[in-house]
Amino acid sequence: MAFFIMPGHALKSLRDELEIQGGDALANDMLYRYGIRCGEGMITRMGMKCDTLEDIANTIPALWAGVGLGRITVEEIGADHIRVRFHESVESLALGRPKEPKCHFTRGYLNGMAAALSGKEFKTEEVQASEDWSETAFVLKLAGEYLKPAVEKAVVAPAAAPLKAAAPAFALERGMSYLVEDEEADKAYNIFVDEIAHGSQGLCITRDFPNKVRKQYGLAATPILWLSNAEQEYAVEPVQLGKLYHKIEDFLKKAERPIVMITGLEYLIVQNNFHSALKFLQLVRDQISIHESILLASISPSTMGDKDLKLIEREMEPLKPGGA
Amino acid sequence: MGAVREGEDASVQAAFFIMPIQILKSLHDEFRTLAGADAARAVLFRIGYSSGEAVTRKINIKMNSGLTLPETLTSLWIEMGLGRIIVSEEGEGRLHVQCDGSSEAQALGHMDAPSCDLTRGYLAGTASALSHYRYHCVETECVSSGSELCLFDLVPRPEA
Repeated sequence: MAFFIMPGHALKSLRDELEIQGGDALANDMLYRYGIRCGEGMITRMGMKCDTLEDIANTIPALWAGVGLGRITVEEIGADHIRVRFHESVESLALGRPKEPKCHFTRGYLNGMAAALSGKEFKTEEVQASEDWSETAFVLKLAGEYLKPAVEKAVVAPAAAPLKAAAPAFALERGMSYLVEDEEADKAYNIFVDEIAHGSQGLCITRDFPNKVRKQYGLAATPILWLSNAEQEYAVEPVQLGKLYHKIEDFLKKAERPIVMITGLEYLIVQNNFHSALKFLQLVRDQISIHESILLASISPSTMGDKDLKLIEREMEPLKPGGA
Repeated sequence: MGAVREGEDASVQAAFFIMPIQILKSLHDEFRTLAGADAARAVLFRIGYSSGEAVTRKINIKMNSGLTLPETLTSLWIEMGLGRIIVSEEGEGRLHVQCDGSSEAQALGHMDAPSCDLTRGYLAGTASALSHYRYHCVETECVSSGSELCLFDLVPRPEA
């Protein structure tokens, strides 16, 4: 990944344009998300990793010096957070030194760097650091472990596929990646829930709203990642294939008898492009093999060209509708 | 050139920051969703234009007897990180730009029509800041829609 340069005042132009199109709150959200992508992109490019908050606190200031958005110094390293103080914030200057937390691009950039360095979720807040707001600080706090693997205590069987107590209804082999070709994702959900009911720890990645999935399939504790641009702890933007990959990898490292389901592969293809999505699947498939896990991915074949579908089928074991 | 604009802090004018090129796809996608395709193109052009002007002002390259506008634009562009360009003069102040390895086209992937709108704006802003014209820029061919190079025409509009 390469970089291009932007002048400091482009942040104001960008904010102004976003505000015109969608108002202040939307501009804040979008600048924050752009910032996150930039921060993650920078770390991904450098291939750096940190194990502890102290490592992160030692690493970020030096990297930040090359970003061009101002200078930072680390003020505090706590058990679950890092506080950095900002000097000469370019975003603040570009916005006319607002007397409120307004540096959302900077906040996102820092958050993205910390998250990419550690592989963990962070939440970053901007706080006042001097009476006249000439200096602010950012608190980078470790977020909750949303992706913590869990065993479901009582899975409610979906009506369409009653669970069998003795053995899983579908004979899936560990280390394998399966492609469920169906116009609806119900079959993939049923197989997934069946595996979970038999002791697997699952991660569900879907376009469907998580609360709806939980209700429909009785998944109380299983982490569900929502493919959406919404700024939610459980949401991942579909264009963030790198982030999605890292979340899957992180889950696989922690889980026992893991199973990962991705519904609606066509959505990831549309949001990115076919080759990026295929490469993502190849990488995930390798991790599935390494961790003796199971991958279930559903796809609507009518949305795909024959050649593209064949390429995906070469990477995965097709499970046709009706076949168990 | 080089003067601080009214209401703007000198240190902002002096500042540059870096963005990964992949962000350009997000910018395109989100503005298209928000405002529609045509408005998104215009917004990105405007952001590019003001950025090109600002970068040129900061670097403070001026046309002098040693370098032509195409040569100056080519050498300045190397710093931007948006691809490599060859600029030729077409007469009456018009410039033709061939861009190899456009970062924006790479970030966008396949598109149905020329789509390097930020780059287009950046080129127009840079050329305008280097000359006494206000340039407009049209992309005639684009890597994202299947061409080998991105091609741009810079057309001057004499200042009133």
